[in-house]
Amino acid sequence: MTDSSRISTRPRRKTIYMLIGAAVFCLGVAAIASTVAGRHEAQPKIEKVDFSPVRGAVAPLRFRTIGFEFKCNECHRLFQNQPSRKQLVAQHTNLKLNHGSNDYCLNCHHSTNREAYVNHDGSEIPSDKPAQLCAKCHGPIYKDWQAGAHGKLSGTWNPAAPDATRLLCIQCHDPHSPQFPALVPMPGPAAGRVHSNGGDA
Amino acid sequence: MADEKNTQSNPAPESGDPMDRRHLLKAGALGAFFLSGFAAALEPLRHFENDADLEAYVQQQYERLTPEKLEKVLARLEKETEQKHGVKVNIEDPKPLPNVQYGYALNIGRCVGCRRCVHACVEENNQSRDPRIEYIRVLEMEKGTLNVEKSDHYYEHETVPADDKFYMPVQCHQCENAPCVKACPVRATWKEADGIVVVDYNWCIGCRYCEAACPYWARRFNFSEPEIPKEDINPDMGYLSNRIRPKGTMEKCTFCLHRVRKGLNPKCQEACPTGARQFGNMLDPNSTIRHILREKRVYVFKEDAGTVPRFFYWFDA
Repeated sequence: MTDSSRISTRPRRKTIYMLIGAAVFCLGVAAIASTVAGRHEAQPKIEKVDFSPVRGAVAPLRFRTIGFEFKCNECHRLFQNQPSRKQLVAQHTNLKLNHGSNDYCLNCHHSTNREAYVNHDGSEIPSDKPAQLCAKCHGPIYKDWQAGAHGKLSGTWNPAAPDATRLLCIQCHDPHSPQFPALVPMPGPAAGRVHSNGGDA
Repeated sequence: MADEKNTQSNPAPESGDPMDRRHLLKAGALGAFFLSGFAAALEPLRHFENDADLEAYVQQQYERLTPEKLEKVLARLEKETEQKHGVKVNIEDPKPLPNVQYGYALNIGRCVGCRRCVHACVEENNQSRDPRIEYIRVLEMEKGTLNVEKSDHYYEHETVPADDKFYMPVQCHQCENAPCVKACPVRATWKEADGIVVVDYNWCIGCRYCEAACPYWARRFNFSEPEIPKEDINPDMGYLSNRIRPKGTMEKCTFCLHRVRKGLNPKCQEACPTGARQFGNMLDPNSTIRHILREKRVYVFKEDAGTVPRFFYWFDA
């Protein structure tokens, strides 16, 4: 009796072990397969870096409206100077003035030639040299800018190279509201992107 | 008599005698062991499909390559890259410029944490996109402390800078006293004459000692074969900088060596929208970097580690 029962249980136990083994194997394969499949999920596409300055290229002083462009003097030769302070009139109400205590148009704009800026002595500063205008008040920054420490030296690290360029003040700062704008950050090294299967760095 | 009997029943092996079964088995097992070891040692040879593979296998360390051999290596790597990635690339090896010592300065007060440097670097240097490797980490610092343990580089905001935070990007500091160079057991990484610490990706054995030695977490390891979409590969490559790395090797920031040795700025410097990043020749008294070192409040990160970085942080009045 005992002998026969022992014989009959043996294959059953063997089958159970085999089933457990098979289950473990299948689970293992499934786990590996899911990781492999996960690895090939598409990474979220990251946009290309924008290398342009925050305010874009500097155009000469012009008045632009719905696709038209006028030279400043086309209108301003018809008007008297506005001696009132901080009052944006007629076509210029869209401007936001937030330049500290510098709230008088003619501190910067030339009173008789609106296509130029004005220097301390009333002489003209050409509109393609805005740094000279800003230097009237921001001397130390101007000095740093000349050396490449404010803003930066673009194109080359050698200041003596002919292609060494410096971004102009107004390519980063809006002269009417000069605080540097807030920027949208590019994606960080979030866990889901370091490894596309979700692992951390 | 007894002695004679003994020798007859157990004959002692003498030189010249035919081997008995035990010694034959022993010798056979030993022979099989060494043969299989030898075969395992030669195993890489099985994967060689052409002469170029063999050339790669026996390639010398970079500093021992003669100019002619280097030319051949560059040509071979160009061919390999084209076969592997389907892109025609140009791999050069610009040498250090005379009388140039590079230095980098980062204005801690100007950085807003926009991470354009991070991604410009990846676009330029052909890092793996999956898994993603980035050389620059922008640490978002808590106002009130300079403790980097309290910083966060996973931050996400609508716009930056976030309130009550400041930002401190960290990348390779190209140290004068570089712990990574000392840690390398095979001289696969060293300091070039212009101050840039480089890696010979073909000589690196991937032990990652340098990664552990670096106090700035500036080194990255290629755990898998780098995956880069074909259209994103930058074809202007340097042997010691941005050529596509093989699996199992270390890589790091090289100040965009292939650019700066041609007079260009590192790509992170060009990408910075705030002008927080300045780069230049520390031997040129008129350079931006000299102006900053002379005029500004300058400090280095982890000064007490004794690494003597040539990457400086500074701030304005």
